[in-house]
Amino acid sequence: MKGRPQNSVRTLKLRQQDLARMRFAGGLMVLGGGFLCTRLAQLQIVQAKELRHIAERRRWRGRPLLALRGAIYDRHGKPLARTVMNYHVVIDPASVQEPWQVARWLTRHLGGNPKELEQTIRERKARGARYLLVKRSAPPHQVDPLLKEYRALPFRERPVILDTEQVPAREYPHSQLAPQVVGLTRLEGERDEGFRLAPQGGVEEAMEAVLAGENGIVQGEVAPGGLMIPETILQRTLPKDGRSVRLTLDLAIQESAELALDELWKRHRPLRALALVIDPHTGDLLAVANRPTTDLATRKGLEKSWEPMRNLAVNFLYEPGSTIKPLVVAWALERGLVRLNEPFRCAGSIAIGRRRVGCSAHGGGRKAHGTQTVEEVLANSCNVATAQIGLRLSLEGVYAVFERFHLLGRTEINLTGVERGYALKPSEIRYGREIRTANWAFGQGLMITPLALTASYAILANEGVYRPPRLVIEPAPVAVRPAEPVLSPENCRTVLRGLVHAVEEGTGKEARLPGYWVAGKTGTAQKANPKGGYIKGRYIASFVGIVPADRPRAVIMVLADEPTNGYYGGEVAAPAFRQIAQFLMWYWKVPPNRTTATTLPRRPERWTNEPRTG
Amino acid sequence: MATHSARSGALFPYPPLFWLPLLLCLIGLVFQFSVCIGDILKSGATPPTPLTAFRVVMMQSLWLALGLGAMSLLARVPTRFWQASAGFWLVLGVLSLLVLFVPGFSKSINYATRWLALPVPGLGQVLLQPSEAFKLITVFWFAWLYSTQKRVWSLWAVGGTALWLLGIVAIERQPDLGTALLIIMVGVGLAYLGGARLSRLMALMVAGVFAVALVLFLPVVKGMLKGEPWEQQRTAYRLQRIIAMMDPWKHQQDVGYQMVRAQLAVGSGGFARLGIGEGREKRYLPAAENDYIFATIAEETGFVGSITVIALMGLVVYHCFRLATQASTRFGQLVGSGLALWIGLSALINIGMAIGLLPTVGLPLPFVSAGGSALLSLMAGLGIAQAVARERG
Repeated sequence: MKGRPQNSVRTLKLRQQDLARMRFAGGLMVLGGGFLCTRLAQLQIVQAKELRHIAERRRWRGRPLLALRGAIYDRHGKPLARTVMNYHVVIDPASVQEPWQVARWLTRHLGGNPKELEQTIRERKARGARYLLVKRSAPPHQVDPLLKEYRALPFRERPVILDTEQVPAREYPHSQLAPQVVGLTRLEGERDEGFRLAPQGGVEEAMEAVLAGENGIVQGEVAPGGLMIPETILQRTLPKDGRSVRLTLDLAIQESAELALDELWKRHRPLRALALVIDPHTGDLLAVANRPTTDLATRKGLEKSWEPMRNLAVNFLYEPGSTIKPLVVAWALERGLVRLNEPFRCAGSIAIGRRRVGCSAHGGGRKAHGTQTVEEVLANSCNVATAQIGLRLSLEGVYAVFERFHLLGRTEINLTGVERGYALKPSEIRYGREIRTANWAFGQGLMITPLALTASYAILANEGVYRPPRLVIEPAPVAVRPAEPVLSPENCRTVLRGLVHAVEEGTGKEARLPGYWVAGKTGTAQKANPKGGYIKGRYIASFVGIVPADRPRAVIMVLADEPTNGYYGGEVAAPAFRQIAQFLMWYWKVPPNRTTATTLPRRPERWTNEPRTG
Repeated sequence: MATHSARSGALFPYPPLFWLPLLLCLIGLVFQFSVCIGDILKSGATPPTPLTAFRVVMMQSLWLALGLGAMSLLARVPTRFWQASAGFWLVLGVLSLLVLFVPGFSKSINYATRWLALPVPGLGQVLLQPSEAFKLITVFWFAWLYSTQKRVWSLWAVGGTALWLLGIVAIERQPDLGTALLIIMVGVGLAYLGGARLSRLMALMVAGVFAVALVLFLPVVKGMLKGEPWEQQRTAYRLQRIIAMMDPWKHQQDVGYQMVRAQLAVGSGGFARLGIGEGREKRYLPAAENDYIFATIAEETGFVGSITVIALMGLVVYHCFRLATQASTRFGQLVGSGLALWIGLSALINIGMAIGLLPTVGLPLPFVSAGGSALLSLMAGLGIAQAVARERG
């Protein structure tokens, strides 16, 4: 003020007191400013490094980039299981001011009970929780509209802090077909390390290495809301998606097998049942249907036990009973121990050592089959004659049948829970070797899986060449086991003729199919008691058939464990076989080549010795 | 004389009080823009148009244009007009504050009812905050009180001051304790600068301390009677904020969160790091374009930038005081001092809060924070300051 010119026009003379007070007030503010500067120096110079580290550490995140698990297709590329990306919807309960409004809004999009959700939100909020999983694995069609609405609101007007976590989920377009083969998955892991689908059984587990893929990672600083700040991303490893798997299953055939089992289930209410279709020339499993079963999407029936996910084709050991006889006969023919026209006499029973073996399995009382040819032995399913043939092979010879037909040991197939078929080794058997030989010859005293038996019938249908059963077409295995000739084609045809007799005139009449030759064998095995001996009145009814017998296209096995309303393989399993076989003939457009409707020529050599053309 | 007449003919006879605020406003726009850029990533989805993404900046630019217009207009209005109509503005200000309590007129954000929502075609809802205008009105009222009135206990003086107190209570009930306290400080400060007796001011201060204590502790005591521990009471947030200020790191999960985040932002700035637009912590700051804009400035420009902003604020305050000493009327002198108090105290409190010296209160940084009402009020105040400059000798 001292420098002001004297001639300035001032109507007001500044009071000395006012000036002093202004200076005092200004001084106080300067003091305040000094405080600010000191504090700023403390924060931005002294503590700067420390604070910056803390801030960077807080913003730093590693985020997984999820890999897509490979899909599972049937042989024609129809999807059985595929991966979709779903979202866990999470909220911060502490940010909710109006629980009822928020709960109603969320349940309107995601489903569920708004009142329950409101209650949960209130409880968590009261407990001070900052994380609440509102909905697990919600599909995009629910989450997208929700997020759109949410993001349309300005940041401060959002009623709740909401976040989503991407999670993979399995989708099953055909959830009721072959669930035991496909298998299930379980969601594992957590947000920061990445969710993944862990396999539970079936192809999912057996082909895990192919299907799984590998999650990637991205590391950088995040903005609130979870997005990464682009210029801060330091490392990024892209995810490797899993490869898809193409199975040998054919969904159409699978469905017909499931339907056939539904019928069987309704009529006979067994404990469990199985239908299995194999292409004998490639060993492809075309259909594997099990009962009890489940639905992969809803997981119905899996709450109490895992039994509906059990694949009986490989995870079930049983005594095959009569169905083993054609294999024994075929091997005896191959070894030259049995001639084609040789007569076998059956007097109803035969003494072996101190025991008697009888043909008492069917027809109630003892029944003599009289003099039979080899083919008729098969048609009649004659225990006495088979025992005689077995005795000619000797104990080691019958054991060789099991080995050559790959009945023992574990079948190599891309499934989990594959059981190992077994029988005592001949060298371990000291007493009763003869009776054991006879028992083995008609299918007692050995435990095998249905798949192994079906594969061995495929040898008969494939002109004596063994093809290991196959479930996966793609990715193709690195090493393929070479096809292994077991029988000569002539002997195969002889046995097939016998099996045609068995269907036409013998125990499997229910399997007859108008217009086609059908070869097949019934089996009615008493259930073995784990403590020894057999359980009275409990049977495993089975039927293995080849259709059409003149130019085999499929081997079909149907098995029912402890059926009610009858227990013979011919009456329980054969109708289901026929249902599947009929569908196959229509589906593959196999022309019917049999003019005589039902009767069999005495020697059907015309078809058996024709060279294969198709 | 020649210089004087040339000055009074100019649009703004006191140029520093035009250029300095304008510079601060432009700095504010730059950092509001920076915050908007950060928020694009924060919201998780690309906003439909730039207008929505940068609405804050656009609106602020409009308000700035409006404010400059108001400033040049008011620079030509004689100060006698304001002196004569101070009472009218006080009544109007208190009425506008009371209107907020009528449901339907007001808009609430985060449980605070501070805004009048005005639908404007093409701009959507424009929010007006009467408590900002009330700051200017407070300056008028106390300038009038200590320049015009001869006796302190006149009917006008007592009645007007009672009305003013009613306005403050209304602001406190919004609730906005920060603004209420700032206005009290501006009022009391002006009374001091206007020559009030020290003994009376001391008595007033004691009463004020009691009132503040009452406001702070009454809800706590009420809650305690109900048996809730005070840490868990929602209504006790003011006390909790003060406690949290002592050691924000201990309370960073709840009350101290904003303080910790702000300090991290300020500290990340270092001496002169990062760069404009490069801030990271700004995304985590609540109301980053408004209450915490200083933290963003500090993060992106470091110590150098923060000190610059403080220095600019100091210059504005200095020039307000300087104008006050040159004013030709006592009313003009007090208006100038009042502006200095208003701008200076706001800046001190806002920056002090951002760097953890004061508890969290929602006060804008003058000129720099986004907020139309605050900017317009300040610009209007500066326009009157220009009028004061025009009338000086």
